[in-house]
Amino acid sequence: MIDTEKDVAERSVLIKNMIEDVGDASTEIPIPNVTANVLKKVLEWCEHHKGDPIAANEDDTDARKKSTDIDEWDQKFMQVDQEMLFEIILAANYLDIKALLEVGCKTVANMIKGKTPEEIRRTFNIQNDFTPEEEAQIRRENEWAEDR
Amino acid sequence: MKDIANARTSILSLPLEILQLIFLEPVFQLSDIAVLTRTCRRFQDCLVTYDEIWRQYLEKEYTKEGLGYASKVKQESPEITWKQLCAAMTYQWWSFTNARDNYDALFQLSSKPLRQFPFSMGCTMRVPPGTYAVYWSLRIAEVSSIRSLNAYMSYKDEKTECTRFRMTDFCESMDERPYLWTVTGTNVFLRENPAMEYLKENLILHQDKTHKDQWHTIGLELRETRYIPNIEFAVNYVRLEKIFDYSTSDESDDDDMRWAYCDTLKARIFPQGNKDVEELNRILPITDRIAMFSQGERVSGGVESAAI
Repeated sequence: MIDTEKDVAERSVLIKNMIEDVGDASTEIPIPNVTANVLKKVLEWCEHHKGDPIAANEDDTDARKKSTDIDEWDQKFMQVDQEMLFEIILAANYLDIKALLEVGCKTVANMIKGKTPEEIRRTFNIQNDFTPEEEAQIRRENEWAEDR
Repeated sequence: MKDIANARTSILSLPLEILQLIFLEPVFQLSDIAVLTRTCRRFQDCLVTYDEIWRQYLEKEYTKEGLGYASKVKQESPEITWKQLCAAMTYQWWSFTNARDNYDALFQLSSKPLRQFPFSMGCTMRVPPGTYAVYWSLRIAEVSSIRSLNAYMSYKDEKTECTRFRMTDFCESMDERPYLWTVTGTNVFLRENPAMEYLKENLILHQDKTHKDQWHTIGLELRETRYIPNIEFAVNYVRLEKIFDYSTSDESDDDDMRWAYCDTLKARIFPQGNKDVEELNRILPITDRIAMFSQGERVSGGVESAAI
């Protein structure tokens, strides 16, 4: 069990709704899909961002920044191994913490950005199962639309 | 190699909606993603929706009208991806914006290969009242065939009432030449041009159908009845500055003057040969299919036949 402040935990829309349903902030909230070490990491992020305004609308495009625009603290926070990074993303998705999910996705996007397919494969340990001919065919089909 | 596709915490094991979020930023080349792997089905599922992401990108970045037109293009030519539409827009084959400095270009577009002749190709662009220079050029490999070409310039109001005149009526040759075209909202006419009288005549027809300050559609269309290989057809619509505005009778029009807009459309017609439809679809990149449309698809009304 992990103790945390209400306003920290309520960064999660899921937990916030559960607390409202229960009506008692001191109640134990089960989080079955997130491991303890990941949850601690998530709560660390929530603690740091507990004063941040919560985005009212996820489709608010004005609030959306470029991939490279990640807060310095968040960048350091996301300097974890890939397994933890993806676990955080999954947890943020499950717990409905949009800002954390966005930071996680941007971090992954930045890991992909500017890389060749082979570099992407190496980064994420993806095995290439295309034949050279198949790969060349896909490239031919798409090459004209590149470099936008 | 570790089979990370089956691992819980690999990128390929992320839910599709999260992969969509990752790829929401349009910083990736579709081909770079597409060639990563074949066997990771869920990742490929993401690639399927990648197109939808680009649609969303268009939706966010451009006007509803522009998206509407892009949707129409997509509906007519489903093989065109949203990313290709974005790329086309980036290269200004057309513009979806109608901000003060950019006019909503509405190009006729079809991916249908040129299977038969006669054919026509061209483009139309929706423009606000103003004065435009329309530059057009033809580059044809077989120079001897130039004289057989017929070009039409058309004016079309919001109700798709169409009036056209044949370019060759007043062209000595088919090389590049500019024409001034004035659209004031209530009339359409050429200045210092042999076709002026023709348009004045048609002006009467348009006056009770056209409303002041409404946007209009202007277009240039090339029609040909024979097969001619390797044609390049380029059209520039240029919004002219005040200095070129001859409509001095109404100074208030100057206030409505907007700045130059230029859009170029290029289309090439490839040798037809004996290729079947699929083959033609394959060899004709979308860039070369823009603005091509077969005769009969265009709106009718006052079109002269282009008999050769």
